[in-house]
Amino acid sequence: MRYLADLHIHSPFSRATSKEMTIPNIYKWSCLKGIDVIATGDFTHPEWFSEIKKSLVENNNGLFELREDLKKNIRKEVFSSCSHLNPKFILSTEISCIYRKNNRIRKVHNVILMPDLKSAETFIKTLERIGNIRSDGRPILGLDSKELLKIVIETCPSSIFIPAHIWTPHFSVFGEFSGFGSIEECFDDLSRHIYAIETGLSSDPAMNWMVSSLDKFQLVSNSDAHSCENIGRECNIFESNTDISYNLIFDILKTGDGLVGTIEFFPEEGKYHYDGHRNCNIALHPFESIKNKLLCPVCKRKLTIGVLHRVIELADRKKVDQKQLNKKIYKSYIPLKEIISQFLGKTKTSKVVANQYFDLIKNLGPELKILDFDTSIKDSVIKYPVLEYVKNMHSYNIELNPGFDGKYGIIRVKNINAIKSEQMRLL
Amino acid sequence: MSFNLSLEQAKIIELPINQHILIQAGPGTGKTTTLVYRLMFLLNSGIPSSQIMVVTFTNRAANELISRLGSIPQSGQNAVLWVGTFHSLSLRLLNDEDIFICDNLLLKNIARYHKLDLTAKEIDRFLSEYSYIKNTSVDSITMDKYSSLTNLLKKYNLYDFDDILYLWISRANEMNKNKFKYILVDEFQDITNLQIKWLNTFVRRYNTFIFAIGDIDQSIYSFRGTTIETFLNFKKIFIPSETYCLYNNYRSSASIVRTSQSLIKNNKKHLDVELKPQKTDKTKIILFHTENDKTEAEYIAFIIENAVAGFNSNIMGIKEYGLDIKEPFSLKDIIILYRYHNMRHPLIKIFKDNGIPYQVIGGSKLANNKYVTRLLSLIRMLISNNKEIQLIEGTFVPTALRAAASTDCLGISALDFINNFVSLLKLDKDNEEVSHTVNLLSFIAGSIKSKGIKAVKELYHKIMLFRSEDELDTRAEAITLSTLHASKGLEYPVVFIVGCNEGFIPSLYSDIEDERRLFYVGITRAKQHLILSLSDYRFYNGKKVKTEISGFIDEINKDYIFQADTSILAMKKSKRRRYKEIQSIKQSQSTLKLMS
Repeated sequence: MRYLADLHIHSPFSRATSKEMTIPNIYKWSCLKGIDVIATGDFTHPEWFSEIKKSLVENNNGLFELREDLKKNIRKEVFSSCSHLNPKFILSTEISCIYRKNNRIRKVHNVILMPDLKSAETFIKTLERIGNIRSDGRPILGLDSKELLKIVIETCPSSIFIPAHIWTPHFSVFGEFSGFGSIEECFDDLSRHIYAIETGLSSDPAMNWMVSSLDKFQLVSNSDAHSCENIGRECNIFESNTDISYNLIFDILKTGDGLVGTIEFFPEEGKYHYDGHRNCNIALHPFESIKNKLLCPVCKRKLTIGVLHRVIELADRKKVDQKQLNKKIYKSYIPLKEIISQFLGKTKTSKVVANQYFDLIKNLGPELKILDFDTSIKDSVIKYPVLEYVKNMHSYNIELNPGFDGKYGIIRVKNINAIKSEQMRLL
Repeated sequence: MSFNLSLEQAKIIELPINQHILIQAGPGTGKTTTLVYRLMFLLNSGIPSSQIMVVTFTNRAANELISRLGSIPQSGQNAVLWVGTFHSLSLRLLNDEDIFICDNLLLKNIARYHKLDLTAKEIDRFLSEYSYIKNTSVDSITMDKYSSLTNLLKKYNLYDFDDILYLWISRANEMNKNKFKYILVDEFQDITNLQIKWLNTFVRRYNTFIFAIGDIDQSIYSFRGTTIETFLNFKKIFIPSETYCLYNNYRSSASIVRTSQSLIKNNKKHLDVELKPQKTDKTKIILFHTENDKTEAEYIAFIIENAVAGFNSNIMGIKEYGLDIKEPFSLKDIIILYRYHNMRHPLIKIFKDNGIPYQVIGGSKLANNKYVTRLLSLIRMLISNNKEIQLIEGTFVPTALRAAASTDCLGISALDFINNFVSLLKLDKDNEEVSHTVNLLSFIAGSIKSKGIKAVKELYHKIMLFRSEDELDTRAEAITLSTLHASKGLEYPVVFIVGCNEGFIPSLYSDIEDERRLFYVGITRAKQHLILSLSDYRFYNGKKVKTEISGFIDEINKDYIFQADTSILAMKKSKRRRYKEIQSIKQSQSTLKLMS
């Protein structure tokens, strides 16, 4: 059996998170997207935690099910094309550590997964003594990441600790501005308790393969969703003969056996792929910005160094062969709604786009299945011309405008007709 | 010997040891360094550590001194040093005696037992007046007004803090075993007459030499009975003596030093020595003016968020608001100072709302905490020699404790004792205040190595002597909030002083020169950035008060001040970003113009 898992999302108690992110809604959208295991998000927030305790029922395998009556209610809103799904929840939270180490300020975000309410409760109590966890779903703690890891392991040895979106410039373990040069520099001797790292939106596995010191870690991808629609935009593909359980996920992340690969953004679409200045509207490839001495050509101040730059800095391989290194596969997708909006030439928030989006899901199945473009979808291309765009995406007929300094990149699917007429013109 | 030291410091450290010396050392001139190296110089000159005593102002300073000494490879010997405050040293000197420091609660309990017609407030007032008189008067003490209370103290053989010093002075003649030849005194400007008397006891008896260091401009404890005259009269008290001066400031930026000097020269009681900045950094001091204390706190949070380059998303470089930051600061680089402890509330609220880690120092004393007072009562009930005190305290100890307080709880370590206490009282550890108190108690108990009655007694005195300044956790990754008074001896890269308004800085209830010195202490804590703020209205003690700009702000030389624009606060968050964008577009346009 294959399972899609998204292990990192946020609750409405986090900053800039949609109020729609209620537990039933998360369930519903996981169905629409095609996700089998979804993070609860923010379990360290006391109010959200009591929400979790109220709405979810502990399975005896470390995962949680939506309470029966809530499920019955919300499933009315799930299309029959998605009704084969019954997403399980996994206790997950993200913590922002701000501290000083080796004389530099460090800001590192870490995702923590736990198998049961009891451990989570102990963990919450410990954190409560250290800092303020009530005012933000993703709390800021003046705590060394290593100390946090120590607390997590001491609270529950089978917890999973994942450094989040490791390349983001400002808030990650490898970040240009406040990160480290290696996992070991950050976690010292406790690094052995780290099995997986999250690549984040702006990098894909291939970029991470360039850094050989990361070979020992499993590369995972999660959505870090702040609204329902973003759930599953990046996720992990697990495979197992047995039913999905917490222990299974733990083993998969520890050993890599059962991790088929990940579903990714095009890294160019991420907010910090290139170097640049948002205010000056300057985006530069790392090589160009190095030529420019890392200064912005407009305002002459230091550029915000992007993920690609940072990867190049730490990379020690020139070329990577996926098969040779025995790396997992990965697939890069553009969110379906964006494809539709490009196809229709309407904005992503417009009603027409939304209508077509739900129409597709209603008739063909969950979004990730549509994007996967298997044979059953291929056959529908004639009926739904928009799928032509999905096909183009799969054959890399795309145009990349990389994101920079907090601005999302734009990936345009090339219109085949346009290409054809271009070719005609040239002929 | 002279590495890490300036020429002037080196000269002072190697002064002949057999004379009384007073050093006037302005802020940031390396006072502690000088003291540490002088101590080392004495040790290296062959003076055994048992003959040297170092008096510091706080326990925190004593610990810092010991750790600084340990970090110098040359210091070599791991001597058992006599380092501490006047009170802790006196207690240590009187080691074998059965002394219980009397606190307000004990006296209140006894007064209640004897059915004296006095309110709790009156007893508090009595103790502070009594202490003030003991510290200032040189001769006999008369407290006719409160004769009933002084009689009680006598009857039960009780000592308050100052009596400990008195006791040592009176016993000194009988005790010959401690022969201190050299006493080093830090923060000499805050010494009281009683403490001078204490030092003089050594000088007269053992021909001890005093090496005192302090800064007359940082004398801020006149309400405790210190006077500047003591500092000025050093030469008359300790004969023969020499005075020297340290005037190179290594701590603060040039503009901070110059600002502080333009302020303090307005004091009449001020030595005519100007501090010389050694740093060339001319970053201006930021001054901002908001409508009320709430918006003041908001703007502070805004600046802090920029100083650490964002908590949730990246923001940095608010050059246009005066704070030009090249490398982001860490939370422990930042301190916020205010005149009164209850001015912290708007700040705490905004930090809580935004989930920003902080720690508070300089509040009420640990010994006055309602849980701690029960603990102290319990200890007195358990180990006082006086049957009647045991009985009195017994009636005030909660039943939950009394039942279990059999003597077998005394054979354990101080930490276990605290743990027992916490579990017996069923304290709610989830409560922020309680957990803070429990943490402090465990911290104190953790440093006690002995066991049994001795440990409990040591615990008792450590709690009694624990000052709010000692609460500072230097390892904590958090913004520090502190009163101006408690900031003494600290230094931070970024310092905020809030409420630069008449009635607060300066306070109405204190001598203006004292207040100016207090403000001066605050300003000189800053290494790189100093941010002063004031507001039109302020909520204080539940009332909305209209406040005027502090006269001290007018005294500061305006050349060093950048008046920040707080209008950005009035905008909504989304607008703020847009505003910043417009600013930077304007900026780039002007650069383009320049280029063309």
